[in-house]
Amino acid sequence: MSQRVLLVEDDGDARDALALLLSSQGYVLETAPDGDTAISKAPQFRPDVLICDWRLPGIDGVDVARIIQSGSGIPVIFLTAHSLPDLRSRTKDLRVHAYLAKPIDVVKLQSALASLLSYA
Amino acid sequence: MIERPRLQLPAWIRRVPLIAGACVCAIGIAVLIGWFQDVEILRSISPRFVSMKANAAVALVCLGASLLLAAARPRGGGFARSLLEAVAFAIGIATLVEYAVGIDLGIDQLLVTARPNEFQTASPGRMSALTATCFVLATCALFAERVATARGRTVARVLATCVGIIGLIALLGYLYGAPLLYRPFAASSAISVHAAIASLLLAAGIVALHPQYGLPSIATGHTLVGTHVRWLFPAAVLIPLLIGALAVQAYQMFGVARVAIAIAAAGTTIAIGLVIAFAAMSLRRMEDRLELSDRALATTKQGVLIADGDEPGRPIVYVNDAFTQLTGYSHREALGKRFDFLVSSTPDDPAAQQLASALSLGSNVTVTVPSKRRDGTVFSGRLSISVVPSNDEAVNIVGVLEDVTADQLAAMARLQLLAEASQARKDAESANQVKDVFFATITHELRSPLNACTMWLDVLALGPLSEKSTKAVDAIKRNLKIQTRLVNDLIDAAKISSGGIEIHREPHELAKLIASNAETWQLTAAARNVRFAYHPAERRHVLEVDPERLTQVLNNLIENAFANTPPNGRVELTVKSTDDGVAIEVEDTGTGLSAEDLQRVFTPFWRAQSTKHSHKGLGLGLAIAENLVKGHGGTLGARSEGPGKGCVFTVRLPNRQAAATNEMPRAQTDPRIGGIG
Repeated sequence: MSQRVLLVEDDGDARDALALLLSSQGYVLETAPDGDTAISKAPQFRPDVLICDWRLPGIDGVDVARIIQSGSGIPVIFLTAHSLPDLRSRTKDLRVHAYLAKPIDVVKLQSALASLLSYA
Repeated sequence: MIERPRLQLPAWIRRVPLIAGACVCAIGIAVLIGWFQDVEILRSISPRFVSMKANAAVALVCLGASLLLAAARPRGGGFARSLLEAVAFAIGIATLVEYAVGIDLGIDQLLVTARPNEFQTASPGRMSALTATCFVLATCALFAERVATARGRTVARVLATCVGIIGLIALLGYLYGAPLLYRPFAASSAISVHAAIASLLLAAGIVALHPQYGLPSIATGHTLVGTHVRWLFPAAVLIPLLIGALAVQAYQMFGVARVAIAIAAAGTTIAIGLVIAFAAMSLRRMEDRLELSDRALATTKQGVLIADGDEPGRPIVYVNDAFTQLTGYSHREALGKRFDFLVSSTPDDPAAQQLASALSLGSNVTVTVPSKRRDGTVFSGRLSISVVPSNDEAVNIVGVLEDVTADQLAAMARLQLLAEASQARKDAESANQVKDVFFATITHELRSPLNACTMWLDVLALGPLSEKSTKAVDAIKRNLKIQTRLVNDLIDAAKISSGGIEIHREPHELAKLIASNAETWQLTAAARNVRFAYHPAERRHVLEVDPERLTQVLNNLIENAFANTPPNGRVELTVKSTDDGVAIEVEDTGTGLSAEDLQRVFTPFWRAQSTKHSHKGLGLGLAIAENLVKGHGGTLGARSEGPGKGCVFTVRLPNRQAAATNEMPRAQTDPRIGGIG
């Protein structure tokens, strides 16, 4: 069964490209431009993994991940253009599978997802 | 009225009236028994002495009972006492009238029929005029005592003392064998021995009725005066008695009155002289102590004022020099003024209210109130008052006044400084916040387009692509990487110039950290046709480092080595254990550095002449690396044999305990990287 990925990214260009890339790898994608949309889509879509940008309009990515994780417990991969240590220190209570700095290295993202699959 | 703090009195003094009253009663009852049962010894103690008459015994029982009541129930028994005192008074006054007028009122033989020619008795069954006088005086004293005022008590004590003197003189007459003293007039009967003793007891009992007032309180108090009175009083009583006895003895031995008087005079002189000498020495010591207190009070820096707590308005009775200096009022001006005359605040000021209530309740308190000097200037006065019992009647209020204006001003200044410092900190914090927001924004804005481009390039790379397109994608990718690197370096440089880069340290194993990057370095080396070798340390090293930042340091150093090493050259990464940590060496066989270049190699934007035109980059990599290493508590050094001979960069990092600190360190601001932020 293919993995279901919920991608939350406010930059439309980056979101579309990433969605295309991951779809081509066989993942089932659902995207959201902001936290509210992601939270409303999550229960129905039932993702296996959440890929989430940190800085989002409205609800912050860390809070989005906390809310979705509290319902489903799925792992999260954080993306950010900001400093990784800051993000790490703020997400100690979450189940974070990987932190990726922008610009995102697709190879690293793919290996992170692949290692998740091997756990599953 | 101020609740008066009581002086501590010994318990026995309160029992004196009880014991005296009981003894007097007992004497009276014994004499009556002597009359009714015909016991000679109870009536007159000795056949050589006059008997106490039956009506005198009744009067004594009445007086003794009244004294007992007064001692046992100070506020009650009014009627019973009146009755008892009236009987005693009637007996006394009637007898005196009989003597004065020369008639017989028939009271002398009311109880028992007198035997004729009784010893030392003027008229059958009639008591001595002295005894009757004692009864009248004692009843008056007991009555005056019930008035319960200071004057009443004084009258009672004076009358009681007279009773005591009559009793004492009579007793001395018996002791010295001088009948004139217990029977001064032949027209009157003699005063009996027991009547004399009873008079003394009555006097002592009445005087001791209110020991908290007057002389008894002084004599029994735990004070210096009390101590003196307690040993002077027995001396004053016993010495004359002994001298008197000595004189009597001398008269009997020599038969010459003048010799006896001379001996008595000499004895008196010596005894009184000794007493005075002892008292003088003791008083001198006391005086020294008082003088010391006086001097201390006069020279103390605080203003001291003492007021009479009983008078209305509590007038000031003493001020010290410091008080006059503090307030500008002279001693003369301050004396007699109200205790709180300096307080200049309105009556609804809480401190003034506190002071007023403490004064009226007689409690101790310390308040800080605005106070006015003589010249009208106001100062902040801290006034501590304490209520001090002085003697029987009075309570004094002692105030200690200090000018705490300077203290208050200093406290206010301190508060203001604190507020300013806090404001400055807030300003700095908010400036910091503005800066942090700026960096967050600029970082985001610069990286986001790069991210989108990279993503789409990756999509394109999925193909299929023509040869031209493949070439284009590779070129764009390469340049995006360079662009990303430039952006990252510029952001880091900007951070360094405005407060430094935050270093988030955690324990990490160095070998693992290097291993995760070694493959990338190998690939880069292969692409550049350079050999890359990694020599790990012999020991395992766990260091407190920021993994991203340390990786960045190594990346920068290795990138720099690759950039300066021609094809077929060699780049080696070596980790060595040192005494206090590790040394990470990056060695290349590249262009090398001159001695002059070595000094400037970590200067931001500096690039070696030899590579200036052949390499891309801003010349920030080594400067940032050096800053980050410093942020880890380490050092970054460079050495080279000279141009063309390659160079070695060495990162030295301390072991974790040496660098462990709770505070989040920042790589330091580098003044050389200015104008970027």
